[in-house]
Amino acid sequence: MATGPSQVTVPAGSRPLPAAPRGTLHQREVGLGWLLLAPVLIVMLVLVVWPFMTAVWIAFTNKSIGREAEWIGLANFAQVVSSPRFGRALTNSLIFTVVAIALKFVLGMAMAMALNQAFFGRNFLRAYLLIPWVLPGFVAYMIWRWFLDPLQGVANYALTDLGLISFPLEFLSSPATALPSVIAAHVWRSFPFFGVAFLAGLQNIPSEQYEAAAVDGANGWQKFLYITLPGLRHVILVVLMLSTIWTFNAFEPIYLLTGGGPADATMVYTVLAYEMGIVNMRLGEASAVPVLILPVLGMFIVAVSGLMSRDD
Amino acid sequence: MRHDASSANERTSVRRSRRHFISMLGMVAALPLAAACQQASTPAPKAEPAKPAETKPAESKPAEAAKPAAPAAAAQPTTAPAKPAEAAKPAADAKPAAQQAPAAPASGTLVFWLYKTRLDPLDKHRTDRIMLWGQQAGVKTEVVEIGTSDYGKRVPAAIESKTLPDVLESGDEWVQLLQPRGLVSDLSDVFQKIDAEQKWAPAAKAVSTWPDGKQYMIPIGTSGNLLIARDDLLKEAGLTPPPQTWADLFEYAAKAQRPPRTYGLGQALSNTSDSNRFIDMYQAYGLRIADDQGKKATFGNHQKEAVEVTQMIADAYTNKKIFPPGVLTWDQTGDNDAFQSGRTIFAFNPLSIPAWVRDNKPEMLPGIGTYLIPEGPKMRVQGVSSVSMSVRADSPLRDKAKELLLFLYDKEYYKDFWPKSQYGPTTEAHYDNEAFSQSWLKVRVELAKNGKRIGWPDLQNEAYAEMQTSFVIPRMLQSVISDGKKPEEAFTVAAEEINTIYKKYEQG
Repeated sequence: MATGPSQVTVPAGSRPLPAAPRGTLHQREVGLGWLLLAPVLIVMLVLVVWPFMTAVWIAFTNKSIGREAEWIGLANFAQVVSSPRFGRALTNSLIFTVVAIALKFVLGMAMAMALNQAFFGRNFLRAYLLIPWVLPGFVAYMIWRWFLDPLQGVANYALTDLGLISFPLEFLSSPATALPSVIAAHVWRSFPFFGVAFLAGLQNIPSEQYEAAAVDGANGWQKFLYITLPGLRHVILVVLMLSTIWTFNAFEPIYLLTGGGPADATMVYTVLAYEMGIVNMRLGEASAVPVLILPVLGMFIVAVSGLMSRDD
Repeated sequence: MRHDASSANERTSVRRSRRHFISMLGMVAALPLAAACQQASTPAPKAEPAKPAETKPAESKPAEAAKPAAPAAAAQPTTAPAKPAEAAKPAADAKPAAQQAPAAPASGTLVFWLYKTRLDPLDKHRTDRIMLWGQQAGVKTEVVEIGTSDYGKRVPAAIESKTLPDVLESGDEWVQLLQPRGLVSDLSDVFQKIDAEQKWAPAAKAVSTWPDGKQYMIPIGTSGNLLIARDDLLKEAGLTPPPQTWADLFEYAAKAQRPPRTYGLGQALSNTSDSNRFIDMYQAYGLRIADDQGKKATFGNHQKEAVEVTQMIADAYTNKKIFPPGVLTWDQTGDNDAFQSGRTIFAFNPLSIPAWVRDNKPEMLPGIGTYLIPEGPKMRVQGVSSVSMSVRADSPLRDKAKELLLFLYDKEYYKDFWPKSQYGPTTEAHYDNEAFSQSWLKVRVELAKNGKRIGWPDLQNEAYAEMQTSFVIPRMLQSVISDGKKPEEAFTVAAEEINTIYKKYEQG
């Protein structure tokens, strides 16, 4: 608790206190606090709030590249919502996110559980499994593109040489396999992040808990369910929140592998916004797309934050 | 806890000094930040404009010009001072963010975005020429190579950040987007000088001249997609190239192919600009995207033609199987890669394929033929495009940039340019260049003489460009081929999209 100078007892005869600065100590502390916060706040305003508000404002204008913006109200939102492409893009974004997150969770957990055991070559394997995540996205997805290419790709060569197929498979060009192929490539690149985060969490769970459970006769599944998962709860929530945001906003895998085709089978909202904003130069319409998506992501973040704080 | 007075005083004193110290630190940290923000929001005045001589736009000289110019520089043609009256006038309904300004003082570096081809010797030849001009003219010059697929990202970003280069070398579609925004200079004076000396080829003149009669770009070479054929494989199959009509093309492709080793037609059907080649086919069958003024979409009136062509292509894909697997998601390089690796018989390409073959697989070149695009029942749609140079409207080095353009149009230089390039002639003086006597380049002269402006019989404007960049026609085809939609249904969806696009521009 802050105490002002007036509360300090001064014995009689002692030298007088220097003149007190204006304002109470509390006020001065508050002032100092704001002063110290100011650089961060300014940076936040300039780099986060201002661009964000600008993007929202642009969504209400007819802004196109190289032209001044004019306020047109909700016209862009009406235009976007009435487009069947937006509905498809939103659906694909949700499928892409849900399936990819589920797979990344399972693979990441398996990776963490395996690497948490003591065995020869563990450190090598830990580094090895990180390679997909360390690779730049462009490189990773171009490798996949080449890998799945029907004319010159390794996958088709291998399947043909093994006599399993006589004609190349169109992994990225068939509407049935395009989205699963893109998801596979994305999961391959991203699951090590889950693995590393879960591994760090696993190493913080006291081994005594497992020993006590063993004494009580718990089997492996029960240990996982009642010790590992609760022990990783916070890590899981943070990783899920971050990865959901990143996956929902993913652009590289779709753009580089299929460009949103064939026939919008892999079109997601980020690629649609890119097409509207950068390719067609209509920034107003393009901004309306993420602004429409914003409440979905916002609600998700609030829900996850709520789960985290409830435990606290 | 008890405190005695002296210790309290001392502690108060210590606390105050700490606080003051931290306050000072905070202020020290905040001040540069505030200063930086101030600098960012207020353009820093340039030191030079204070000099009266440099405030005269046309007469100003770059700082480097003070150095003695090389003798050759003096021999270079000079341009007339820029006249504000010649400033680009955007379309009446356009509201450009940047109007053409009088040329600012000529100082700094002249930035040239070079259209990077797949032909390294050509790019180097061109870069060397530009740098040579920089040395001779005493202008610091920087050449930045831009890959074709990067324009879509870099040009819009440069427009918004006002960092367009002084000279932009690009496909003409970019100039068509920049001009209505008032971002490129009127280059009619440069165009006329070249015309007086070398006489523009009809196709080059057609692509460079705007409806207002002015020229806002100087084409370095004419281009346009042509039909590339493996004549050797066609002859092996007992066929005589070239196929005259689209129907012939599909028949030839089906007969000559040997899948999975070779496929008939290596043409993208994906969301890439190569796929818009099929618009030519629709137009050759009588379909029109919009009216003659390019204002109102008329695509919806052509269901019969659209359905006929869509069925032909779908049949070629599904039954004749002339398209290689993967074309539904090919990128811009798909047709090149497939043809160059010997996997396809036909491709539509602006001759970068045979040019690459010439440099990398010369033994394959004699077996390759280049032809005009096949005709349809109504007409042959053979568009001509160009790679062109434009000058930024507010470039402080605008006059110098015009000098550079004339320097690059030197007749002697072009004699060496053509053998390295993939483009067609732009002036009549180029027709006789030895390069065009090669079998695979002869067609370029024909194209320069008779080709139509790209988009013809429609008018290529912003709405038409958005129809192309939204890949409406390729997506219509994809939905029939891969989703199994009926052509009529796919047509209805496409017609609605095209209507919506044209209405947006109709409303301004």
